[in-house]
Amino acid sequence: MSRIVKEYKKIKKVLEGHGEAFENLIVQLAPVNEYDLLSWKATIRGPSDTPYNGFSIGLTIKIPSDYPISPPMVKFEPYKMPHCNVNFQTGEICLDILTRQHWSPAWDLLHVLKAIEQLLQEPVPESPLNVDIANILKEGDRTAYTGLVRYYFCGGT
Amino acid sequence: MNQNVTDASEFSKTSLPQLGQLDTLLRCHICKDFLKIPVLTPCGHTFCSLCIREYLTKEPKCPLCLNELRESSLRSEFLVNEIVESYKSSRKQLLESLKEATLTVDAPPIDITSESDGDDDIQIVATNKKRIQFRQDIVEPNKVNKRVPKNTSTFNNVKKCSKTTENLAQCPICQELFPLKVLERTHLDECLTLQSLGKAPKKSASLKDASSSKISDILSKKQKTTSPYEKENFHVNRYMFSANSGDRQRLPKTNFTSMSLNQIKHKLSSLGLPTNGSRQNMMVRYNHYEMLWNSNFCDAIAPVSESELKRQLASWEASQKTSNLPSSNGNTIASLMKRSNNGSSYQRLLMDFKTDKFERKLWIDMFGREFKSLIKEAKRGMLSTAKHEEKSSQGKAQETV
Ligand SMILES: [Zn+2]
Ligand SMILES: [Zn+2]
Ligand SMILES: [Zn+2]
Repeated sequence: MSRIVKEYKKIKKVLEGHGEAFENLIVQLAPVNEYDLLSWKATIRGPSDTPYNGFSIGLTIKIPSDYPISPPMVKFEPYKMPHCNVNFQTGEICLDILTRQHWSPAWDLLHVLKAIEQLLQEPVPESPLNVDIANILKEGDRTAYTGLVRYYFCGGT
Repeated sequence: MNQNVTDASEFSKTSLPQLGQLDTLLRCHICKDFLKIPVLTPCGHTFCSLCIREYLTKEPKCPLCLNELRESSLRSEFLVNEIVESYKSSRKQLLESLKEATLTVDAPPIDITSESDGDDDIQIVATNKKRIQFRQDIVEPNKVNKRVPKNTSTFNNVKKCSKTTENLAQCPICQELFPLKVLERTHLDECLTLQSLGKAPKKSASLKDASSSKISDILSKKQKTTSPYEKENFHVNRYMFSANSGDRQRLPKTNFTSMSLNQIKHKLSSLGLPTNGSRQNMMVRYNHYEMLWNSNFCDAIAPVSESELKRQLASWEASQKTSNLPSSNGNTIASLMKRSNNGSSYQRLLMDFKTDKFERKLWIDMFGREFKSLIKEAKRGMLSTAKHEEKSSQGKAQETV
């Protein structure tokens, strides 16, 4: 348990500006309830050079009781996320490091957000959770991709 | 927010920010705390014995390099253990004196970080010779011993003794060193008498009282009293006299699938473990105890007793229960622990925090308020940047390229 307390302290420092590497990525990363460190919410900036640029994207993070032996459970929430590796209905993310098999307890929540940023930069249409977007990507239609993402972010359903 | 949650960044505001690296290196990459009973993997990585053992029950790989890793290939690292322990014992003082040193320097602080990757001492000294020198002057009276690893214990030994017992004098007959007073009052007479009788001089009863100041005795390390020397060199000595005795048996992994409930109970009670709870409870209990046992008896430089292990087990079970609330019909161990923890003091919880038996629930109850203020603090920092973005976030597009 003390591990997540340590992380919280580190995150606080990083967000105060001691870790510039995250300045462009993280808008917010904090526990939901003021004194329960097992439930977090995050807001990240859509990376530049992606259709997500200019948007803020919300995530929820659940810390399992045996964390960091088991990985955190991360979802795009509360807003729907148009991405080929994200389930549009549930927000579930297909990311190897979030599976027990590929997770390493040496990583922390900041690593996780970095990995998610990378997934936004480099979608993997070969293992899709959103077939529509995966197909557009496979066809290499960048304009349609950007248009679709924007459409969803601007209130489309 | 409290002393237990320490981290390497505490050095960033001191006169030696590069010490943060050392602070980080002495920590486990699983729990992020200082290494506790460190073990070495064949791939060259070090973790707390319990941390890595617990992880290996889930995934057979090294958390750092992801190479395949088996529990049986872990080896204890006594040296690292003692390095960590001795570092921990002086960390607080070290931090304080480095902070003081920074305060005394009225010139703007040197930007050491920009010049060094941490280990390039020569460069720092060359460009900032004067100021670094100045700092050392401040630091050294506070007994920051920078060269501990280079001193052999014997060397230290002699130095210490000659310092603490300045009035030593050599007996002209037997050549041994004694405090001057002892020499004058009793020893010379004895030595002369013995010599005249043709016998080798030996310690008399009166001398034994003063023997703690006798160099040969101190060197022989057979003293029972704890002299300042022994305290200062506790970790050096413990390392030098350490050996994996192996007189305890490794507790084997057990395959419960083919065992009856009675067989499982028998197995537990043969180890003196409680047999209450479901089959699942008992399996989990055995598996955790097996981990505690092997970590303690196979890896630790100073193993604790079996009863201490059982206490750790009970405490762990209790913490499992509290983190999986609400299950009110807890088994006896959990309820026992809860009862004994009622009215537990803050100190007690802090102690637990350091070890494995930290109880999250109690902690939250006690520090809910502190967490809140911390969170507020953190939010204040983020709010300014977050505010305008939130407005333009989801649902409203911002004009972009
Ligand atoms: Zn650890
Ligand atoms: Zn490794
Ligand atoms: Zn003599």
